[in-house]
Amino acid sequence: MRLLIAEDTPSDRLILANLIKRLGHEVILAVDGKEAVEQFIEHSPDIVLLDVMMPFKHGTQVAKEIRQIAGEDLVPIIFLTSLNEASDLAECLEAGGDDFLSKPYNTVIIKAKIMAFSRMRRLHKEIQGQREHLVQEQIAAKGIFDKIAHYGVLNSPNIRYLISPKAIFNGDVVLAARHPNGDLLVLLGDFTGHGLPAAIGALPLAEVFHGMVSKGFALEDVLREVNAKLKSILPVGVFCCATAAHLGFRNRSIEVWAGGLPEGVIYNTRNKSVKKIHSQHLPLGILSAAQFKYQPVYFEMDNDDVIYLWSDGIIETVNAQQEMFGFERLLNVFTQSCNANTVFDEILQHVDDFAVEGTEQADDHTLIAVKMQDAPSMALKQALLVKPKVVHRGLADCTMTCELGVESLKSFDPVPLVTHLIFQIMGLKPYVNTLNTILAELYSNALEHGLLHLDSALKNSAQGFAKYYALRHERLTELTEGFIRFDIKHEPTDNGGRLTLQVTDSGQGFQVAQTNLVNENQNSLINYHGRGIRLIETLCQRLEFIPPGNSVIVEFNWSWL
Amino acid sequence: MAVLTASSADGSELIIKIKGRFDFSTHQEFRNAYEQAPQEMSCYVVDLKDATYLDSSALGMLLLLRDHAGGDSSQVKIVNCNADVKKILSISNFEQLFTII
Amino acid sequence: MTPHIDTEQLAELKEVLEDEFGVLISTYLTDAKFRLQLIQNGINSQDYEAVRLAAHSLKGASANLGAVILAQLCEKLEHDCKVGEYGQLACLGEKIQQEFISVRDLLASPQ
Repeated sequence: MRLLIAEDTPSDRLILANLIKRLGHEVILAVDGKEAVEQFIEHSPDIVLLDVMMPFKHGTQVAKEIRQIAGEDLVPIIFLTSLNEASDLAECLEAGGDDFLSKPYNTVIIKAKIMAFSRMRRLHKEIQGQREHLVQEQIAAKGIFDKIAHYGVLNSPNIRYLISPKAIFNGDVVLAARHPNGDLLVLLGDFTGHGLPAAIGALPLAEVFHGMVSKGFALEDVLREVNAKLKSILPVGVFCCATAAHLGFRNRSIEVWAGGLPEGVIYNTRNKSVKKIHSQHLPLGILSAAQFKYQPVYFEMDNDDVIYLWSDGIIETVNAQQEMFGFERLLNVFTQSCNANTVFDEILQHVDDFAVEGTEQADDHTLIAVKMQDAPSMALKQALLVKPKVVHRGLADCTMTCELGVESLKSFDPVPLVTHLIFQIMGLKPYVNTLNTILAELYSNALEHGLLHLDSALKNSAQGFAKYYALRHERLTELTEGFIRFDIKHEPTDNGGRLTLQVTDSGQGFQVAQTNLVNENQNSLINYHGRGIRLIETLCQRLEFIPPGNSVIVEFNWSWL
Repeated sequence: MAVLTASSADGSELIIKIKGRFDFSTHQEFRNAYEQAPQEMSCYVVDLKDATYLDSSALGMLLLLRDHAGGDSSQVKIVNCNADVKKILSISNFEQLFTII
Repeated sequence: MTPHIDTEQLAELKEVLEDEFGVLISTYLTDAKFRLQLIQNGINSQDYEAVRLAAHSLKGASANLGAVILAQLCEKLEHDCKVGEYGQLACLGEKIQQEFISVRDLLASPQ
């Protein structure tokens, strides 16, 4: 150890210096108060022995200054004194002294105290080292964590979000990714527990989410996979509360699954209505794959809808009276807001005003707001983003057929699979978004209209949306026979290729249904198949219905860029 | 003591009472409560009458207890919940895993 | 009768300091003379704060060298100055001078 001895009497100084050196320590000397402070700054000793009565600066003053300079560093200060009045001793302690050595010096006592304080100092340095190490680890982990959080499409113009700077410690995650057809899937998650272990689950969650969504997998499939993954890697007792939403711009629906987070809200900026999203599932990572439940709630999408999700940091912010901000106050921000466009900021402002000033709580919020977008404009905007590498490898001339029977139709979504197959045709890679849109549209028509006999018009009525999906679920469960077949053919042409897609279902076809319809105008096609058909017409070179209408052929030509 | 244990008259039920804040600091005591009891408990009861606060680590601890008690075949009851506690448990839908009274 | 120097304590010091022991003695004696001068000047000019501080220093240094009586006298002088009892100062000052001579002689002689 390095000891600073500040003592103005030369003989006393000599005695101490010798004693300390004998104990094996390094000695720095100071003859008065002023020099004591200077020596402390220059040499950073581990322990300080300080005479009380010194010229230029009193020992207690020196102690105060040293304490301030040392800051968080624990430097023991031992006063050397022949003062024996309690008040004087008390003053020394108040100034920052840790102990006393009285004159005449007793070698045994001095030795004992130095040893004790040396040990304390050593331990303290060890702890500081470990803390420093931890901080470095956390900074590194935060770097990785931030990358996950900002991967995906969180920076889309219709999304506004705030992630708590303490997210890595409190386990908050916000993810957003797009289906190839432009639909948006968002997830807000809150891992239980504290510190790094809570945040470790975020990595596999993000990977699975982004990976599957980009391939077009349905929200249910994504969540099942996420749940299974988290269940397998997280210890019992660690789980992820989450709310996830699929914003289907194509079919104008919002599908929401909520497990464990406080209620989210769908706020309409035009009519100021507030629809609550209740948590009806257990959080992710608790149930086994077989037990996992997926019972989402459907809302019809209105162009002025904004979906708001938050973690419990906002609700649990407390004021000086230990009251929580709570859900009621949060709802009030929505109902009392004069300007729908500033609600996001208003929420933050209200919470900030409510919180105890200067505390860390004020910052610990995670919040996301997603505005709806108009689908057709979105899909058509899906321009060619990337020039394909001029590597003519992969599928070129091929024919494939994929037929799904009843059991498959009940539990499997073939669109990602077929999209993936098509993706193997090199030249089609830039068009994968468009093709996925077409496939998804044709498939859902084949299933919902051809096999399940659902009527799109039902979606337009109030309550109709929820009813539509409830009916869809019911009829699909009860389906006993039927099939849907995809016939895919691709032929290379001189400057590109031609993709021919045919989707056939085992239903009666709309021409039969049409004769049963009272309304036989131009719009019957749209009524039967939904608005999506118009979209496909704009995207493909050819669209043809094969009588009796249960089979659709589309042709898509592409050329090398 | 924040955690008190008692057994039913016939010894088949273990009752764990939580007093004060049920949070991360209760972790070790809670674990000891059920780990140090004899294995053949047919039912576990967590009494939250005097619990003032429940956070997500408490939920985690309940899951650990359930796992210890046999997972899906376990019988774990959470009793005497006040309104706040009930709200927290219902947001997490824990009534799907525990009997909550 | 209390000896002027606690020989046991001195012997311990010698053991600790070894070769430096001689230096210690001469350092003490030089510093003590200086403090005594300060005490005398202070009494003469009635600067009792100066007397108090010098007495305090000499007290501590003397105690460390085992000069017990000298240390006690300095303590009395320091205390009187502190509480404002200036009546006995001159007398005390004399006693301290005398005691120091005894101490000096003992320390200067071979051990």
